[in-house]
Amino acid sequence: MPGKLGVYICTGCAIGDALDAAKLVKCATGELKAPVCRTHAMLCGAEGCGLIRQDLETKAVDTVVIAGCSPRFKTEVFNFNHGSVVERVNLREHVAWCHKPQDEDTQMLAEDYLRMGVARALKTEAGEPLHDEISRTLLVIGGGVTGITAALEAAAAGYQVVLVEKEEELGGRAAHSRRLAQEIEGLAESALYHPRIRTLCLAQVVKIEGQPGMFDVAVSTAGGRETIRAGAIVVATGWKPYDASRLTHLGYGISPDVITNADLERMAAAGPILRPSTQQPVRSVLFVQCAGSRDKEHLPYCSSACCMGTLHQIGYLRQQDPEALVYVIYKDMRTPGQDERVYREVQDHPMNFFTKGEVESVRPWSNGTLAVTVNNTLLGDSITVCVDLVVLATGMVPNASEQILNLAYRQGPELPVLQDGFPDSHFICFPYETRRTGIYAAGVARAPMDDALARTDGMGAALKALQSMEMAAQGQAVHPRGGDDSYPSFFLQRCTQCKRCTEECPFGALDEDAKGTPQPNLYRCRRCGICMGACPERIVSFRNYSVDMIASMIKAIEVPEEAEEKPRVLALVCENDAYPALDLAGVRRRQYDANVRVIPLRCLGSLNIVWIADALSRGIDGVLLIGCKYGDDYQCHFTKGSELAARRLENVKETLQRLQLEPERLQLTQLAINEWDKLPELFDGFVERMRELGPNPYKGL
Amino acid sequence: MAEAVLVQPDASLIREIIAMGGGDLKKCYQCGTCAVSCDLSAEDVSFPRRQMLAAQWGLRDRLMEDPGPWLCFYCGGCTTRCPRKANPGEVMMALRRYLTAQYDWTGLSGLMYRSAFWEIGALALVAALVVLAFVLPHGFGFGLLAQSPAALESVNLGQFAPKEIVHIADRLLALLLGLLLLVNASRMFRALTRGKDIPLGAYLRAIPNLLVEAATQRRWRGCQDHTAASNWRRHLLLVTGYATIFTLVVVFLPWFQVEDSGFHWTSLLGYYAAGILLWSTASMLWDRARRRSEMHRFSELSDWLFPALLFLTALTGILLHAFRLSNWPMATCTMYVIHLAIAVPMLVVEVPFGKWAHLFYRPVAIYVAAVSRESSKGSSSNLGARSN
Amino acid sequence: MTAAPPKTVLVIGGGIAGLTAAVELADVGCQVVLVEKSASVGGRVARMHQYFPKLCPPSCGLEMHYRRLRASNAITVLTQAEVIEVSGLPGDFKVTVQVHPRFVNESCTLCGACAEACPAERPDDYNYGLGKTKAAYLPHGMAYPARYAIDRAACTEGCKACAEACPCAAIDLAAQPESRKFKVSAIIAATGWRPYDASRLVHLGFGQFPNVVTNVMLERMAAVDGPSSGRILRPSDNKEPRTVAFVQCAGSRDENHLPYCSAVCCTASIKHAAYIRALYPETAITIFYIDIRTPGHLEQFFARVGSDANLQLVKGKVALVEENPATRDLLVTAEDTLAGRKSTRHFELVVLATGIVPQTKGLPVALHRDPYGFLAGPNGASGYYAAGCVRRPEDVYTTVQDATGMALKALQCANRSVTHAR
Repeated sequence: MPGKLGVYICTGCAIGDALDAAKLVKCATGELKAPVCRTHAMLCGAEGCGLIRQDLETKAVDTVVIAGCSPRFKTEVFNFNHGSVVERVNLREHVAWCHKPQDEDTQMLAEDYLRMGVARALKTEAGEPLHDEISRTLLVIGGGVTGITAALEAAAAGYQVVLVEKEEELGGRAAHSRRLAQEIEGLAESALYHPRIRTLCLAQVVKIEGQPGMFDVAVSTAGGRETIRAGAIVVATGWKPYDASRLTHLGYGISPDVITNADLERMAAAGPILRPSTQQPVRSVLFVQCAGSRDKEHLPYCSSACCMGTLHQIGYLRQQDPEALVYVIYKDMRTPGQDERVYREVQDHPMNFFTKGEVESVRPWSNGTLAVTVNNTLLGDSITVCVDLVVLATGMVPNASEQILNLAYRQGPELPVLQDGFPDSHFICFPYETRRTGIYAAGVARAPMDDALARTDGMGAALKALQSMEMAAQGQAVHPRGGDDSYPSFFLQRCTQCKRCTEECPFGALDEDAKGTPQPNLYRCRRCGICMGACPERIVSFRNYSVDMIASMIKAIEVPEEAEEKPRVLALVCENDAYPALDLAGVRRRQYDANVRVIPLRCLGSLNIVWIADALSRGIDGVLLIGCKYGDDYQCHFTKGSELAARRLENVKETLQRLQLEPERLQLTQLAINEWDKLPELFDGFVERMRELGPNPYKGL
Repeated sequence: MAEAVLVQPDASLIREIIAMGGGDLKKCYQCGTCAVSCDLSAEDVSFPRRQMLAAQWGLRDRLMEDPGPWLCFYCGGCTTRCPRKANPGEVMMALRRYLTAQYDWTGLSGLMYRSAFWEIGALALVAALVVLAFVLPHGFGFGLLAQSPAALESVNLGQFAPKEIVHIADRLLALLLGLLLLVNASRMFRALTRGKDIPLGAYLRAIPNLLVEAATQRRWRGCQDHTAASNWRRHLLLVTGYATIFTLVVVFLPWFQVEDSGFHWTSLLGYYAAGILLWSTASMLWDRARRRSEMHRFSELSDWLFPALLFLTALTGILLHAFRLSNWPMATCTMYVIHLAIAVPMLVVEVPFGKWAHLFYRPVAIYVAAVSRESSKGSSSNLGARSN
Repeated sequence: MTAAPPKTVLVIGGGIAGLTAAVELADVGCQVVLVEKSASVGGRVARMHQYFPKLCPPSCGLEMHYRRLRASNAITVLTQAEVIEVSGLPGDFKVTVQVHPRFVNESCTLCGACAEACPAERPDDYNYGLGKTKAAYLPHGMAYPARYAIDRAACTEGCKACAEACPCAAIDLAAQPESRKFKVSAIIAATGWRPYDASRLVHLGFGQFPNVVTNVMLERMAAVDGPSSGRILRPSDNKEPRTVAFVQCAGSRDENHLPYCSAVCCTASIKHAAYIRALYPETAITIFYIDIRTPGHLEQFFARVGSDANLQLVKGKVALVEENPATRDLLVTAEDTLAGRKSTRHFELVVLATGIVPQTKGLPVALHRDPYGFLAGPNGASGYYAAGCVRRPEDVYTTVQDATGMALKALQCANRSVTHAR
């Protein structure tokens, strides 16, 4: 259905000064055949908006193209809540503010943007959001501090919860801790008797199928196997201590009196702390901090909880013997925030001795004691201390990536891990997100932390999980495209089973049938469009974002004849970072070459190489791709969009050479949102290189 | 890397230092703010952080070998700025008390520093002995009641406390206390120089400095604290007053102790000494009571007793003088006994066992620090820099 | 939608904690009133150049939040506003918000004519006073709401230049404060923090010597939209520093100042070292510390940046900074506690890693605090929850965690109030 197009051109904010509005109107009404085209000096004002609203209400128009400021501004004003298509053309930040006013090239740029905007608007379709029966039951895997907290807090918010614990009782590691056992017992009891929590102990998840809002979780319990329908999942499977048998250099194994902090915790929870070798009271003890943590050979990260753990354990010892000698050998004492108080208090005891140092050796000494030699101490020398007991403060290893979820997903049974066995998440902005939608890791399964932080973490992950169910119920995407109710549709008749989409989806949304045909799970989808970019057959599209739509926009660009010596460059940019950066350059009135045409993409990973072919075959001289930084410190909100784009680009470059086109005509640049100052230079430089290369030989063909 | 040192914390040492005023010792987390704040701490032999650590860990030998505690004059910058309120200035003070006790072979010093009962008790005991010497009939062959009651009717103290005997007694006491002090100081010297190879020449060259330092305590002037200069001047005056009266009593007693209500020129020197002592000790006590400057914020019993006794000695001395000039026999005699019952215990307790001894220990420590630094220049094995 | 939406949560503070709580609550079906006292949301995070450990710009994540704010009807953002009264019980609070006039209404198009015409200046608080803006100012390039504001306190008396210059009639210099009332079921305090006042650290020379700066200032200096366009330069002569000292625990872990550890300063300084290294590979950097505290994965960031040969770590706290008046170089004295030596070294720039002070001014009710002035953690169904640095010193990542957790506590109140109403 061809839309009834209305084009509205704002001439305020210097747009009218820089551009010939009459020519724009002519372009809209003539070439673009818009039945309605109006200009106004301040479209965002009440009067301007009134014009548009009136046209919508009288049904003169159902597809609105507003040419004015960036869509990042005045969003609320131009939201007519009308169900009609509204497309914004950025004539202010991307044209009037950053190019020579009253200039032929500037005018051409504006007209191209108008053509592209109209093309986009006409390719946008209305649609209904997904609507299915959504389960609002939360599944929590792991009944330790984190899991119990997540379950209790979600239940308190009114949700049904199923709590799965593999041991006989709830409590996890905390149940074996002298400090936490009593409290965790109380929490476990609350969970057991909570009307909205169903607790399954001695239970393990054997298989998870489905998607957010409709996970089918097969759980094996003592009573057999059952399947639970859950809307979202919190993974709170905790941790295990680092394997001390690898710490022989710290004396582990040479004597029963070299133990780990986990051993000590268990001993303290059960009764008095005794020397394992003699079962006599401990008169002196030495704690080795960072035993296996902060160590390239073992755990490269800091386990975060061991310094405080040791301070608490010293407290246990003090309760039984105020005179015992306690040594702590640390790399750095780490008691952040208010915890510093605990360090100060423990330090204050006359028989507690702290020094920075590196343990060189632990060896048996006379009358059954252990001699610990420590280098580089604050005491100025290497020192040897003789003690009854050596406690290795070993770190935490997550239980998150092996035999936990058993996902029946094409991309594998567990949460993808980036490093050190912790499920990957965008570390800073979305700490709970994993690469599996609707499944949220919490507690030490996600990052090393102490019990206090684990509780908040359980709450946070629970909220994210509840949220994913609520968003699913509305057919909307979760963060970072929260509120987006579009979704990809697959024209499977044309599918060639190349499996690129199922392999590349960062969120494992696509499964495969036996032949390799993708089976979309739309509630797992984050709407990044990476599948759309991956597909060589162009069978994936959203109602408001498709290969055809961008191709039409590219086709809408007018490519001047070779003789005009006006090169054309297409820039496909990430809409979250590069696009706002270009806005910022405009706000700061940075000037750059007017031969570049910018098209924002949801993610650079949605780049389909056909667009490059389209552009080059139309005579566009070069294509610039601007995406987020990738690698270990990736900044892409869809984890690897620009990285995938870079890979696709490499393949295209080979094709270019076969077509006798210079590979320099394609360039991918990684750019952060705050690097707007680099954009003018980047554009100017690229256009300059295109000039040097000479015109695209396919021009005019 | 040097051979690892076997470290065995001396728990009693830590508890003693805490009992002697270093109660905040363990709060130190080794940031080094104190050493930087310290105006007197040198780059290579810095303090008080290292002493804080040695004390925290109960490392007796290391403390004994270290002149550091005596190089500190309690300017107080360290304590003001210590981020942990570990009070390094007072810990150094406690260390000096501890070390004084350690140097004393009799063990009395330690008892008195640790316990108010012992300190007051010792003073009371000596005072009682002094009083008894005069009160007991024929106690020591002289004394109040050994004479006819008429002795109390004259201001001539010689009648019951013959000058010759008193003079011999005070010289004997000076000798005895001096010997005790010397023995303690030599123990200190041995501890400080243990394991250090210092040539005799270095000792000799540093003697002039030792003398100047002993006489003036000029190192103190390095303190940048605004009260330091006036404190130092006051202390120096106190020392001159003390030295004057000491000389009068020990050397010139036959002239100084006048046997009638007449005036003798030596009294002019006595006035000087008494005036200085009264003013300076009163002012010191006043400062301690006000607790304004860092140095005076924390006071142990021993810090109060010495200046208080000195003040009382001077006060009773000047009253005694006044009563004699006024020709009030009974008052003169009584005041004399009181005077001695304050001065003698003060000397007996404070000189070898107490705070007085710092007059001796400080210069020795400064002397040893200077010679050991000089002799270690260019030598790689010095204790100051324990760099790895 | 009724006049009093049943599931409404009040969030006080529009920094990263408040924004996160607001967006998370909106996405789970709540209405949110977000009250921010300054002219734009984003708080301290908006003033940062990059986050550790990814060295990525905060504006990227903020942009995503702003996009939600722009598109969502569920969040009411009130800037230059403060909550002046709260009454009622958890689940049914009545709050009054005083909205101070911005003097620039929604018609503003960011054209900038007002600032061009404005004759008066004010210190640029966005840049921690490192520069000035006009009295008619845009808080910063990424500001949300994207609207100019007029600082009337800085205006020249009787001046109307901005109002006359505005082509959109967006300026009303006579605008009055307005008071708005809301019914909310829970309140999240996310009022954040402020840097400790470095001028109280008298021995460290801040405020006395121009080349002693604080970590938050360095953050602005590194930013492209900062006072030196992303060049980190010595304030005294705008030269590139060849030697830089970082003074850790400047005020933190100090009973005379902030007894607690501010938790972020170690990693922040390591990040700043990375900024400097990227700009000036020859510059030698020394970090003076007591304990380096880089918990969790931040350790790997520390290991990576710390392996640089031009970065030296000295265990010992700087207790004295003096200036050579001729060169304006700084003399930094510290004791290297591992070597047992006290020494004084020259640096061209000194950065004080000042700590976090909870910002609790302007909270409408007396909330329970810990001995250091931070708001206490979640306590049952009080209806009041604290999130972010007002609760404990923490980095952005932990703050986001925390704010998400507190959003659940608020959701519980909101859902309970709905249940009761039914």
